[in-house]
Amino acid sequence: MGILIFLLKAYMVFLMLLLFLYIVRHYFFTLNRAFGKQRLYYQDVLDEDLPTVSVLVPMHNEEKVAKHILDLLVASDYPKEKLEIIPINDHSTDRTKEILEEYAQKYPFIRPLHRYGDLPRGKQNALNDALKIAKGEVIIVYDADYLPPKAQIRTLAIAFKDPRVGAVMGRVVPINAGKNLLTRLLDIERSGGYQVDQQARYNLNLITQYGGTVGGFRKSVVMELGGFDPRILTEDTELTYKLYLNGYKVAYANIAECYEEAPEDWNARARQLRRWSRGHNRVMFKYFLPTILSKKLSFWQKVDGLLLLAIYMQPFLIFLGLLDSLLLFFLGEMEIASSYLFLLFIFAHNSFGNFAPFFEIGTALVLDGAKQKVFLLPLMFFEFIFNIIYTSLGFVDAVIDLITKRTILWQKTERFRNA
Amino acid sequence: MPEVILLVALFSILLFLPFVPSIIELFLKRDTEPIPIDLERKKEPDYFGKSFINILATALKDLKSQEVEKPKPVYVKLPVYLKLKLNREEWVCFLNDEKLAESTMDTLVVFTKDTTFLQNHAFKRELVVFGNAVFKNTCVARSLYVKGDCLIKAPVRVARWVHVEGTLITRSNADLGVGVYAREIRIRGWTTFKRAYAQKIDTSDEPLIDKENNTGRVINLKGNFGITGSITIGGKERPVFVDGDIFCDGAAQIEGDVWIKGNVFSQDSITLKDGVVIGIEGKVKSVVARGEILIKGPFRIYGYIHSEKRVEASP
Repeated sequence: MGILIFLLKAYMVFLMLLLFLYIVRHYFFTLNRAFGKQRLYYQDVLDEDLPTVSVLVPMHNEEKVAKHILDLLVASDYPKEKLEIIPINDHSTDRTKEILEEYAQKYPFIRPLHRYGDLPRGKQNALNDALKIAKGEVIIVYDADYLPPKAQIRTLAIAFKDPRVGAVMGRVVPINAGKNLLTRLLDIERSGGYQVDQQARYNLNLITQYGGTVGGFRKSVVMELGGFDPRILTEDTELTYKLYLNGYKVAYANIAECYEEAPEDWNARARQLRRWSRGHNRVMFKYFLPTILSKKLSFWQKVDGLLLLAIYMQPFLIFLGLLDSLLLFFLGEMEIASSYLFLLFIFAHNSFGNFAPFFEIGTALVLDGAKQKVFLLPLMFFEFIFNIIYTSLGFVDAVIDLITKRTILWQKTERFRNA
Repeated sequence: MPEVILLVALFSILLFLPFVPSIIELFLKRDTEPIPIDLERKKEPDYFGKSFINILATALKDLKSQEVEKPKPVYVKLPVYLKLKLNREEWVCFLNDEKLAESTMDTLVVFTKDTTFLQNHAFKRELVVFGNAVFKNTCVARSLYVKGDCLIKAPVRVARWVHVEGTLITRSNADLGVGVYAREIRIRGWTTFKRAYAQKIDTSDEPLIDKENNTGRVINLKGNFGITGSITIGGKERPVFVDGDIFCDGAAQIEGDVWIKGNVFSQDSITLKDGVVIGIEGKVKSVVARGEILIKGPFRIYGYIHSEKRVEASP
């Protein structure tokens, strides 16, 4: 019994320290974004010698949105002789194939790839196949529901002039922000994630995350590194770590803003979150040790890299912590440490620590000039609880995947736009 | 019992209190819009001048009845004032020669012909010259548009942008504001700005390394360079050719006979001294820095210079 109580208490201490690290990270990023030196992106480099670009758009039953993104890509100001667009029709059963063929007939630089039959479904598999036929030196990826501005391909592609850049990431903005409570909360969450989190990472030369859409990568490097792992659902996170572990970096373009469609119903959001967590945790299992042992990463990059890897495991750990505290309570062993200093720590945590993510999102909203949205912040408390449940389930999925080596099926996020 | 009810009520109110602003916002919906993204936006170095002149041209085209203000006695020749609808409705002063007596002008001023500025002037709004412009006396303007060539022979300070369709020559001190656009920019006096774009920007008439016959020993570097720290490239003893781009996190100091055929980008400052050439004639290349860009002595670039702080050029 004594050993059990010791372990339960030790876990509580470990959890508190881990959460404390995340709190420090939140504050550090927020203060850096608000007051620190801002690293310059490459958008001001004007150069006539642009790289050849292949834009890949994975699509599975995207008849509602396919025309919108293709029209915007056709209108892009990128020189057409250096551009090809490869919409990847991944086992669609609706009109996606017909729509893509219509566009291919009209525009010679649109070359659709149709995947049917025994080919395994999923974004990572679709990208692997498209990479085999893509001619561009640079690959830019958009999800089918995105609405890229005219100059965005140029803004993203110019980063690859810097030989250290392996991938680039733009900023995602939900276009249906005002639809309902969920989309409003997702909108402000995205603000925090990009305006503060990603920009601060880029400023501090830490692990800027490639997000798999509104972004791109250097084709030769990705091919050299073996493409995307078909067993991992979050090919973007995997690529981020692959690149950093091989000495490349990910550039963040806060100016490259692009509208997306955020999930409008809680079930769709739950499935999306669970899929992200499942994929992200698989990446964690695969890259946790290599990140620690890497000789290419600096100490702070390792710290940030590990915290980022564990981010989708954090809710599960908090959930375990809740169970742990209940057990300790009923065992009458709640006293873990007793000193005035510890009491001060608890008070400080309750006063400041719990507000760290809110502080980050609030700062992002102020930077975006969306001050009214700050009032929605308290409601994020309920979203956090929702997130804890579904990311924890995603973590469990990832553990089962790892043990059973079962086949992973891609689940597409539902579209809500009217065609 | 009433105490219990009171306590429960108080507890509920306190629990509910933090969510009150959220619930108000949720129902009032004061800001439900996504952050605005201009899908048409693209990077154009002549954006300000071009947009301004388009607005002015449209306003003149749409003008149906001219409203002429009463002449003021201070003018040697009478200017014509028209009320035009630019971004808002405002008076615009039109002159067909340079004899503007008033030293401070509050309205937008348009000179319809070649103009030489002999007196001291302060233009609080945009200054437009539909011809060539020569500044022979101190002048301050918010922005400057010149249809032909522009020669600055006396100190000039522009707060926002300068757009010259022809050649811009600065022979005196000039603070050209945030953005400068011209077909060609010849800097022959101490000049500052934040951004400048031209087919050719130079600080000297003498032939530099890209126009010389380099038959001697030359250091050739090929490829694009990414540097974590700072970099110094010296071409004083032997000319250096860099056939590629330079991207560095620290400061970049380049001096002497150095020809960089690609771009130079720094997260810090850039110093370009005594004979540096950037780019290739006929192509656009850039020098971009988060910090200051300092140009000293002979220098030439084909394309674009951009500093988040300031570009200072002293020939």
